[in-house]
Amino acid sequence: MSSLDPEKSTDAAAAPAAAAGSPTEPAPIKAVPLRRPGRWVAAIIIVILVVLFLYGAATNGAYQWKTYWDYLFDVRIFHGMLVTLELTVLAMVIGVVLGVTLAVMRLSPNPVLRSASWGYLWIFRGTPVYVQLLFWALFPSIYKVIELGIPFGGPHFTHWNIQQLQAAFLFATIGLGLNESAYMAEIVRAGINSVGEGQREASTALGMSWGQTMWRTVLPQSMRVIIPPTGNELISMLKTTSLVTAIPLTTDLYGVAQTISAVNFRPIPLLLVAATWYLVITSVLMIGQYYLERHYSRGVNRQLTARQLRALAETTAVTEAGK
Amino acid sequence: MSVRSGARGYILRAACVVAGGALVLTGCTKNSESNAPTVAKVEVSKVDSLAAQVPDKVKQAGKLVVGVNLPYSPNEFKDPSTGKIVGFDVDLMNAVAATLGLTGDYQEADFEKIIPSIQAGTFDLGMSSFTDNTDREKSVDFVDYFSAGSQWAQQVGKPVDPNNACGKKVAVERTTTQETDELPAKSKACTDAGKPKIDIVAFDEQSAAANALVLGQVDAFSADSPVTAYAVKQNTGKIELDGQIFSSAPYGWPVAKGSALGPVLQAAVQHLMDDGDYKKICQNWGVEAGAITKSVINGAKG
Repeated sequence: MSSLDPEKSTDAAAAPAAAAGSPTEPAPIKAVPLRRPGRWVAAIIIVILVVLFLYGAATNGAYQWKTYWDYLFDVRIFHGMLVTLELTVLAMVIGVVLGVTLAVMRLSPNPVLRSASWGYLWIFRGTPVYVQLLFWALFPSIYKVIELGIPFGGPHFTHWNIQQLQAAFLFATIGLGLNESAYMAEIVRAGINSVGEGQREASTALGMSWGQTMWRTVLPQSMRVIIPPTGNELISMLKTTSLVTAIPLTTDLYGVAQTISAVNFRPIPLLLVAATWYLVITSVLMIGQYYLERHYSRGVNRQLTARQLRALAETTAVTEAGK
Repeated sequence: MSVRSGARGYILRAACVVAGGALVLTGCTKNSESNAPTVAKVEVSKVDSLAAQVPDKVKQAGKLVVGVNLPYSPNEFKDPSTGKIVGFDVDLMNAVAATLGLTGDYQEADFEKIIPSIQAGTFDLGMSSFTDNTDREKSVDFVDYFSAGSQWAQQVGKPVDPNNACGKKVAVERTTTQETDELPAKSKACTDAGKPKIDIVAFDEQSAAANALVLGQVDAFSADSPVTAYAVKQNTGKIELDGQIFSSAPYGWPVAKGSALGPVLQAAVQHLMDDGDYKKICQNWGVEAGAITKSVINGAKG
C-alpha cells in the first residue's frame, strides 16, 4: 500500500485492522500536495523587492510625479504620437514591399539580381541605423541636384534641386524604410525557404513559371512563418523611430518630450511620459499580433480552438438530441 | 492564453477598447511652460543701400537659409507651445534679415553638421552661438556679433573652484569649445600637477547638462556665459553661478569662406549696433553683458 506521508503509516496500520474487522473500503488517503519551500522563498523575496522599488519610486522626489501627470495627456504629446505612428506605418510599408522584392531577388536564378540583393543586404544590415539616418540627413549636401536623363553629357528631362528641399520627414521615412527592408528581406527569405520543396516541384509539374510559383503557391504559404517576426519588427520599428533626432526631426513623440524638457528643465518626468505612451502603443500592437498569428495558424495543428470545440459540441448535441 | 468564449468575451473586449479610447481623449490637457519667456519684439526697417549689396542668389530666394542647432537657451530654442524657433539669436537674425529686406528660414541641424553644410552650400549661414576661433576660421569665415565667455555653475552650497576642479565631475555639451578646448586644457593642468584628472561628462544637449547639475549627477557645468546665466535663472535655489566669466571670445555667424554674404551681414549688424536696436534686443533677453559695439569678420584672437 503506497503512502504519501509518514503520518499515513498510522492510518495504514489502522486500515488493515479495520479491514480485518469489517469488510468496508480502506479510509481515503489524505493526500497533501508536495511542499515546495523554494517557490515560497522566491515569491516572498520578489514581492518584497517589487514593493520596495514601487515605494521608493513613489516617494523619490527626482521622479517629479506631479509633472508626469500634468504632461501625460498633453495635446502636444498626442501630436508627437501621431507623427511617430505615421513614421512607423510608412517605414514598415516601404520595408515590407522592398523586403519582399529583395528576398525574391535573392532567391532568383538570375545571378546579377542575386548579387545586387546580397550587396544591398550586406550594406544596410552592416551599418547602424543611427549612422544611416545621419547619412540621409546629409544626402542633400552630397547629392545637391538629381537629374533624370542620358548620363555623360546627354540631354536631361527633369531636374530636382535636393539641396533646397528641407524634407526632414521624407528622409527619416526613407532612411528607416530602407534599413527595415534589409531585415524584412531575410525574414521573407526564411519564410519562403520554409515552404517545402515539394510545393515548388508540384507547381513546376503543373506548368507554372517561376514567377507564378512564387506568387500563387509559395508566398501565401510562407505567410505563417513571416507574420510573427514581422509583427516583432513592427513593434521594434515603433521604438526605432525615436532615432530620427539624427536628421533632426523633432516632431515625433521622443522629440516633443525633449523639446518640452529643454524649456522646463525636467527631463525625467517627460521621458517617463514618452516611455509610457510607447508602452501603451506597443501593447495594443501586441494584441493585434496575437490575433493575426491565430488567423494564419488555422488548421496547422490538430489542437482545436475553443470556438471549434464549441461548434463540435453543438453539432454533437444536436445529433444526440435528434437520436 | 485563456480565450474568453463567445459573445461575452467579444463584448467585453470591445467595451475595454471603447472605454480606453474615451478615457484617453477626455483627458487631453493643454500645458504651457511658465518659464518660456515672452519677450518684446523690436521693429526694424529695411535699409536699401545694404539690401542692394546682398548676393543675387540670396536676393532671388528672398530668404536667408540659416542652420541652427537646438536647444541652447536662451540663444536658440523651440517654444514648445508654438513649435517655432525662438531666442536671442533668432531675434537678432530676424532684425538683420529685415534690414536686408529678407526673411530668416531657420533649419534645425546637428551642431557638427552645420559648418559642413555651409561649405556644401545647403545653408547660407549658421547661427548657433558659434565661438569664433582660429581653428574654425580655417573652414569658414565668421561675422562677429557678440562677446561671450565661459562660465561655470555649481550646486548651491557646494562650491567648486573652476581653476582647481581636479577629480571633480564637470558637465558640458558635446562639440562646444568647453568640451574641445577649455576642459581638456584644465584637466591636463591637473594631471601635470600630479592631481587626478577632471571627469568630463559630455551631454548631447545643454539642458541635459544643466539638469545633471540640478540632480547632483555632476559637481559643476561649464557653458557659454549667457547659457549658464539662463540655466541658473531657470533653477534658482538649486544651482548658482560659480566664479567670473573668463576666456571671452566673440560669437560669430559662420559663412562660406570668401562668401560675399559675410561683409553684407557685418554691415547690417553694425547698422543695428549704431542704431541702438542691437542693445535693445540684448536687453530684452538679459544678455547685455556680452554686447559689443563693433562687428568684424574673423576677429578671433590667437
